[in-house]
Amino acid sequence: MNETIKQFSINDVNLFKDDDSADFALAEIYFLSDGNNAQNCPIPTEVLKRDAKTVLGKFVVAKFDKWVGDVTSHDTEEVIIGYVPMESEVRFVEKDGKTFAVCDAIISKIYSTEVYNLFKEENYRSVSSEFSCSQPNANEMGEGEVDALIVRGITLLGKSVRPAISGANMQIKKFSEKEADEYYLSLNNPLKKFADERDEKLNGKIYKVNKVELKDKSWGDVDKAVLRNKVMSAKNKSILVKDVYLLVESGWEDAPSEHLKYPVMELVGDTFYYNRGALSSALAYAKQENETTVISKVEKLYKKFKLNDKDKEDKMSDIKEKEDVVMAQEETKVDDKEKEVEKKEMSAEEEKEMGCDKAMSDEEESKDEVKEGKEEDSKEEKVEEKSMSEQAKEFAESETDKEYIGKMFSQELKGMVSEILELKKFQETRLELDKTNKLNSIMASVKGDLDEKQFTELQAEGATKTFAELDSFENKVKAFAYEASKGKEKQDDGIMKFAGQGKVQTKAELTADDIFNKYL
Amino acid sequence: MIIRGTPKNKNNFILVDSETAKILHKNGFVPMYIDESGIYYKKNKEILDFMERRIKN
Repeated sequence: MNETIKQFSINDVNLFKDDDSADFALAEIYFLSDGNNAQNCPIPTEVLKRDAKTVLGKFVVAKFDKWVGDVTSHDTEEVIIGYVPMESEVRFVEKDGKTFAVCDAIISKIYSTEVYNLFKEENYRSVSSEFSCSQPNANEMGEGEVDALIVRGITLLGKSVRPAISGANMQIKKFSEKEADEYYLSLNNPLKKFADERDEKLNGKIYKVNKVELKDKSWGDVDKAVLRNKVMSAKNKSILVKDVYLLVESGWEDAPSEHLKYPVMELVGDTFYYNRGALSSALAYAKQENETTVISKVEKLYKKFKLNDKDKEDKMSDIKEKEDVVMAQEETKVDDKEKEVEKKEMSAEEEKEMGCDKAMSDEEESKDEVKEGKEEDSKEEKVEEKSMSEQAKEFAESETDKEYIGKMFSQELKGMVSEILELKKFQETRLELDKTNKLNSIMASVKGDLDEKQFTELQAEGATKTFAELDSFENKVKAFAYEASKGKEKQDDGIMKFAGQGKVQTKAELTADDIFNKYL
Repeated sequence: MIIRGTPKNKNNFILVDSETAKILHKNGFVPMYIDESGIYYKKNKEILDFMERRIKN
């Protein structure tokens, strides 16, 4: 035991104190760089950036020479010591004037203990990538620019050999399983990405819609571009556009100024209201363009707000408003390129809120309509009410609605929940396995000191502890063992001791020349 | 880095086994290709001199 401690320097203590994973170590590998190399097969930066990802899912290999206690070089008998996870990502780092492709790798501690222990001696080892490549202009010696490559593996090199690419190296980054998990989560955690995306999308504002009040503000004074920007920046824009604009064409998200037509609402505070001038303007313009759908919608609104008579008397106003609409259309074309594409999504809250708003609006509308007096009006209102409820039904069944509820909550939320459950299951399995390993380790360390009865009792007690409780349990076991072993010579059959605790094979005294002479 | 494959013109290369490759690599010679037969080093005066010198010793 003392020998094991002696081989490390004090600087390495921090490196190993949290080394609690029995299976894996996480390594960071600078495996390939652009520019020239010792073989005169330069790799252009664009080729590196395009093809470096072929390292994903490939192996980290090495040939360990027990005579010298180190790995060697490229060899036909290399063995796998780890792999680059498919789900990890290749990063590009500027170092020493070159662009390095960097990946993470998982190194097995159990099946490549000797290699893993090398990193405890010095946590920086050179590596060399093995790849197949295309070199259209290579000379007879195989020298020439690489125009495509596929990484086959990464070889860990011994201390005595120099890599073809200076600076290509591998370091164990995290010895602690917990830290390794955290590190990976920070890089690849899909839940974190999801949360970030959601956070971005939730930054918009929710605007309300009041369909029972009509505002009289001059439509010419309403800035249509600002109005459109407000709508497009809203979280509930997908619903707003259908209220604010009478004609919503496909592609409105990409080019709102082209596909959102006939605005009829103005924004007051955080609520949209119908505007008197906007309705006349939209009607006049729709008639000119023969947009029957729009005309029908406006006429319904006219009836709703009892504007028929006034409308007829107000032709001059119509003309003015029509001009405003035309101007607005022109303005929006100029403004078009400024708008960026936004994905349409909506949270449960806003959906609910809008549902409530809609319900409230409908209710208010109904009440409003009931208060109206004349029979003809009542008939018209009934027709309108029916029409509105049909619209509402259509709206509720529309693709947009399905997209919100179906895609947002059914898919994303279900996916998220399933992911959480999967992670929990994985965590539980992992903790159970680690607990068993740790308990075995604790019990193995005192096996020679306790009699069989004590040993069995303590082992049974340990099995009931949680992983977190094992630390205090270990102290208890050691205290028992200390008491029991006072005055006794320690018995150790070694059966339960783990590999990897012993000292690494010391270097043989053979020199390179000795080996050369021996084998050549 | 090393290229996984066989050189087009083998006459321009020296094919060595693992042990020899180890010695050569330690002495600064960088392997060029590797396949199931062994490791290929570029054949040039420097490497030939080195090998000749070692054999004489």
